[in-house]
Amino acid sequence: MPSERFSYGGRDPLSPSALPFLPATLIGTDAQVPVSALVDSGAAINVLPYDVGLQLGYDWDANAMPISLTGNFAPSEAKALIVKAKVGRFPEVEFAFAWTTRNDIPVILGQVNFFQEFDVRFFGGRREFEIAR
Amino acid sequence: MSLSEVLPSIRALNRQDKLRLIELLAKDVATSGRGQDDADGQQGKPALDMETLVGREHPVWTPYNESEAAEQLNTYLVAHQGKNHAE
Repeated sequence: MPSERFSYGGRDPLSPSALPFLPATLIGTDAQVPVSALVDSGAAINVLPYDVGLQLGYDWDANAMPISLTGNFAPSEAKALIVKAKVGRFPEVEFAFAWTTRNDIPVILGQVNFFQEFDVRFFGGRREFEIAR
Repeated sequence: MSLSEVLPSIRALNRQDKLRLIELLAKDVATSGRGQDDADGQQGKPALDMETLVGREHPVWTPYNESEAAEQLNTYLVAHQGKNHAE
């Protein structure tokens, strides 16, 4: 199974609190947007910030599939969105996102469906993680 | 320089300077103890810097407790993939 390893990233990659950010390119209707997405095994779902969805060319009002958020995203509206993505050298993959009205978050890759598509190993002591598909 | 060489000088310090030395050494171990960690076989492990952890904001974005949203997204994805296969 092909795999690829990445270093932890974010604002301060050398900090003890650095996080596993994955470089990826999201492919929308109008544009391709490079993102640094948080690989979050504790996240039930993938989450897309509002502005990234707009940059990709999606229309909030045209999207009719609402998603109910009940956890710490509870006050936010969200809609389901399928977005193609290119991750490393892997073939293109489709991610199902809860597209939120929030912008104070990174792109989050969670159990549905990033962790369904990729096997992930964390090497926290080395500040690295590996994905395989 | 070995500990036995510097120990007499350290013992000669007054109480206040000893306390300052303890504080300095604690900080030094926390922030630049990586070399020692390597020697202890924990190569590559970043030093635990309590000042970095305590003095900054660490937002937690994780959408936990979202089983209903996960169900909805999964259903949406399966329907989407089924539609694509049918076409």
